[in-house]
Amino acid sequence: MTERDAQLRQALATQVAEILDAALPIEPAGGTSAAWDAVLRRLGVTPLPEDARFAAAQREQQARGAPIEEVSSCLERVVAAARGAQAGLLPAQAMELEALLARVPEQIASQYRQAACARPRGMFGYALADARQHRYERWHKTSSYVLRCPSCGGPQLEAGSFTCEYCGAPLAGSG
Amino acid sequence: MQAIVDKWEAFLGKVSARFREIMAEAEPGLDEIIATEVLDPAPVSGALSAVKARVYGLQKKIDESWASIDAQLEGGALRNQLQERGRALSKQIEMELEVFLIHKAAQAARALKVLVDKELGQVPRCSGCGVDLVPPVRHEASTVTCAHCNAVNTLMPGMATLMFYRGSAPHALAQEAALAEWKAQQQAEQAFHDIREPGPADLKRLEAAHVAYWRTYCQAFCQLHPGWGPAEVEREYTGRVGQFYYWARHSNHTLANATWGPA
Repeated sequence: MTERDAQLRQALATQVAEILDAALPIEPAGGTSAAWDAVLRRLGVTPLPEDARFAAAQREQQARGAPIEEVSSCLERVVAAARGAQAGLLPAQAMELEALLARVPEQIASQYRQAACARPRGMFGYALADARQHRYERWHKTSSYVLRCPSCGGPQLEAGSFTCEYCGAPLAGSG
Repeated sequence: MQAIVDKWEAFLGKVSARFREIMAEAEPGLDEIIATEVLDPAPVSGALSAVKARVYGLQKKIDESWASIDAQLEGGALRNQLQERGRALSKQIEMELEVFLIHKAAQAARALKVLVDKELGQVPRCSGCGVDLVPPVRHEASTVTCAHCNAVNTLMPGMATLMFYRGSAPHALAQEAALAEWKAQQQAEQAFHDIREPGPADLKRLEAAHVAYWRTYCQAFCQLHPGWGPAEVEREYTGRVGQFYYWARHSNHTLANATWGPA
């Protein structure tokens, strides 16, 4: 494998991972997120209209994730870009890469479908999936703040006093 | 007739076995959730609800199946005996479920307390100049004037601390501490309601069970609140047990004119 070949394969793997990382966590199924919108924009894929995307996810029985159709379109774009960047490869390498590119959209879309349609099993499947999100971890600490004057930036120097000791401006409200 | 009896006994046996299966799945499942996350109350709460939903579904099946069995019986002692077998199983399931829920809620509270201790180990710093601050209280928000830069700091406890002291943790731990008294109270309630015409002595026995439970509960509950003393225990106890006295005064049985107990 030449350096160029390795670079192309690495770039392909990275882009596929970015697509899946942005698409899969989306809830409810068929929804979108800022990260997913950014992926669609970067790859030039037009998002499905809102009604159509939820209907598509329901039709595919997705439990989460962006619509499979959108993910497939993104994969096609990534593969098309990789095909256009094969210059400099030896003929044998180009053939091997082409074989890989031909498999990627269907194979990855199939893996995505499996992951997006998987539903937690057992009595606590949903509760455990919920627990693993650790939603409030960033609040697990003692914190402090000082009220500052919006006019001069001076700190509040007396509890219960909401007039700035430095410039006389109100510390809170419109005054 | 024997066929109906056998059918009912076999059905109750299956319900009992299914209940054991549910609890066998629930025990390690909840342990895993509690070990994974207690800062967010939703997973534990959702899991406890899932157990309740399964068990209530079983109890409903007992009622539904009894209706079908009952339609094939002609009344009499055998009917009452069979019905009582179903009721007893349903009651036993209910009690075991409640005890399980109490223990698991307390276990989650203890896991949360570990996180509370971590938060309380952190030294808050002035967000103006960064020097260490000494908060007057640790379990709730407070304001501290920095001795170095004079800025007034509002100190916020961490999520675990707020969840523990302002959430259901003290209740869960107090309920577990008073579990023996709670069981006795439940038995006393059942015994009282099983009497066709209860007398003053029966009501006194019920009162004693309520008093014992709420006394133990409130002692444990108040110990978990920093700064609470005997006065708070008494206030809490009076409020909690008050519902029993209210019921005793306003219930529609032969003791409607009971005049004892706190106002």
